[in-house]
Amino acid sequence: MEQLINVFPGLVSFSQMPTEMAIARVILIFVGFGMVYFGYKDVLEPLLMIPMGVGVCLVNAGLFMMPDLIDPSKQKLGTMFLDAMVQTSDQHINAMQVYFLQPIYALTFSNGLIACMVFLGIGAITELDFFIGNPKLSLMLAIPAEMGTFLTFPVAIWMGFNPKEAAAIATIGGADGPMVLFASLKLAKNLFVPISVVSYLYLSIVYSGYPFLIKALVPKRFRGIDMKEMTITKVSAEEKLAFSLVTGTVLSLLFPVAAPLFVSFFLGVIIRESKVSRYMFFADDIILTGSTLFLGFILGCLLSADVVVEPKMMKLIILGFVALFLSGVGGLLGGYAVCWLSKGKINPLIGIAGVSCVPSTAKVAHKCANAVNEEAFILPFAMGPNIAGVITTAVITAIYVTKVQLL
Amino acid sequence: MGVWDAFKFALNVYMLTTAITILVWVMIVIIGKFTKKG
Repeated sequence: MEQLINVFPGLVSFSQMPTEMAIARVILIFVGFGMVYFGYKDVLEPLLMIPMGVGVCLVNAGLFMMPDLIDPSKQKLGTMFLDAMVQTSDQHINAMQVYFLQPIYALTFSNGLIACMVFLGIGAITELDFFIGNPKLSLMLAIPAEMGTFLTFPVAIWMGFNPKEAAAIATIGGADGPMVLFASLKLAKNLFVPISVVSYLYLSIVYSGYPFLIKALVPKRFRGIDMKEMTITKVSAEEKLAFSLVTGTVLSLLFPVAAPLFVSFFLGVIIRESKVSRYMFFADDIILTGSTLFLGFILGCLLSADVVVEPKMMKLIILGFVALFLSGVGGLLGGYAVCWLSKGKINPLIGIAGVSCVPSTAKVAHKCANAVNEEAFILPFAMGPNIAGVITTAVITAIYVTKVQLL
Repeated sequence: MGVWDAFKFALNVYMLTTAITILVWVMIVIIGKFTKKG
């Protein structure tokens, strides 16, 4: 037996943990396989699900008894990936010598840098024309699409979370991964792994889930409105640059706590609009791609059995669903309102694009309209509320992070 | 914090978000007046 432990400590580790943890571990290994498979098949968002699935699979397989860095006299079940429990500077330095992902985790997750890098990349691929060309319509649709962010907060309080945790969970309704990551790191570090994982899992199924909501709430005759009578105003690069600089400055002045998010997003937009090709390549191909890969992989590596058996996990799964469901319903109600105000010229489906999962929700709106009427080309009109949704989500996250700390 | 207090707090956050959103719209309109059109 002792020889077996020495040769295959990973196998023996199953007998060194409580039964429910061992079962959860096996289930998570299969969940990891599922994430990779459905990511590969494009059912789930492959950019995140493939690295996350690999992380979930391998971290739950690669457990073994090892010295505890916090208390070296003890042994604990751990992996060679990273240790999220280290706190002091000494422990961090020691952990970096042992765990291969520790440097990335310590230097980019603890301070929210990873969320800001993703946001910078999103800024660099964001086309502001549709938003600035029709700001009133875009912003009018983005506000009701925050209904989930608004109503999930009291529901989370009712389910027993404290205000900081509830605010972090409520940001799932904004459907913007980096915001959820930023808010949970600022407000509920103890829950940031389950909140982020639940959020990214739901965001990856928005593309396949929201069409059902649309079909349930919007009759065919409304879905097929083609919006041919609407025009898109051309916007100059100068206007987009001025908007990014002024808005970024004003929002940072109002909400200094969330200034890193605003700076990252508007820096990305300014890089795009100033057409410095080398920065554009760096922000999109390197920063966004690299940070998305490590974000998915490290979140997967943090999803170990002890996180899943955490009693709050089931509540988080319910709240994540509630948040995105309410935001989707709010978005469609906003869509109906503008459809009615425009006397039927605006397709109500563009309302759901106010849920700021760029560009998935805009694509969903377009796909559902196109399925009913092949001539309906609403994607450009849906991109306006989609971008407005990113800005309102950043604002509501900033307000939550600022105000909830004053409670 | 009770559920009713939580609702009032969230409503407050939502209204403030709406106000900031209107401010963003006003900024776009003002910037549009001072920059050349595309």
